[in-house]
Amino acid sequence: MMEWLEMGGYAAYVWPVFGIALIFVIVVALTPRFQHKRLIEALRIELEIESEN
Amino acid sequence: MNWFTRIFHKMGSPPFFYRGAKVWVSWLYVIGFVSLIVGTVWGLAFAPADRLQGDSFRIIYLHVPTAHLSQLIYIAIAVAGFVYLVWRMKMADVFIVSAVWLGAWLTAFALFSGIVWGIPTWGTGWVWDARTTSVLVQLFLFLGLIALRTAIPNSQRGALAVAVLAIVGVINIPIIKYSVDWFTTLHQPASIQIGNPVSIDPSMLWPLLVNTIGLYALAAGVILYYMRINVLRRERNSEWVRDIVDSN
Repeated sequence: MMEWLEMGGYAAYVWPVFGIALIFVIVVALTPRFQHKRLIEALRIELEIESEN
Repeated sequence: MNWFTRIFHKMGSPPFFYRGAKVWVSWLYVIGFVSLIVGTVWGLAFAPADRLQGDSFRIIYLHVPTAHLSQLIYIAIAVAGFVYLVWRMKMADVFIVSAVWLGAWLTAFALFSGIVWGIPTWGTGWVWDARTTSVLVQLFLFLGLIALRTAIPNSQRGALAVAVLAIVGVINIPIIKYSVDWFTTLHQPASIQIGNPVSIDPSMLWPLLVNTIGLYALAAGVILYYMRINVLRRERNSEWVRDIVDSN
């Protein structure tokens, strides 16, 4: 296990690339989910204001 | 109408697209995440180390798919720009707006992973040679498209300007592709080419293919998801959007 983590001496290069990729994938995949919810919320408020007038 | 034009027209219909794309997004996310996990674990833990580069070569499993996909997204944006110019199809502009950020991020990641890989293998993170510079130009093209789209508030004129820039910028794609053949660069020529025998051992190639499929599927899912959001935003005053907002 330790030997694998050391990546034959290239740990300082391999792990940062994969670590940033992990963060990147999670952020990119989840962002539209939040934006979608926020947009529907905003549209609901717009509709409510419209119906009050 | 044949089946192709029928699909073409239906996809251009916002409510049909919004509802139809939902299940596609879910499937593409599942395929994308499963393939990326399998491919990455395979590449990091089970593929053999390179004879010359040792374990540093494992960066290939992220570098090549992101670099390749970023160019594919650029080409797709240019095609969509052409479709918008000729047929004024709104969905083509929706696609451009939805894909351009992902293209910029993927290009940035390809550059980043290339720099980190270059330090141990080339002895330098950055050189101003043909491949690295042309990919940097692609990043600037993506950022230019984003800046142009946000700078022109008029939606139609903004879409037009972006379509033209996207088409003009496609000249950079063959430059990226052939830069490693035409010029003397530190970057190696392609190992996987149509019509040529693959010069990578299958034990190293398979995780690369699995990761590529995963990244493409996830990216397609993310772009479709953004397209749904942008369609909803643009059609906010129409009846079908009201129904969706009410039912949520």
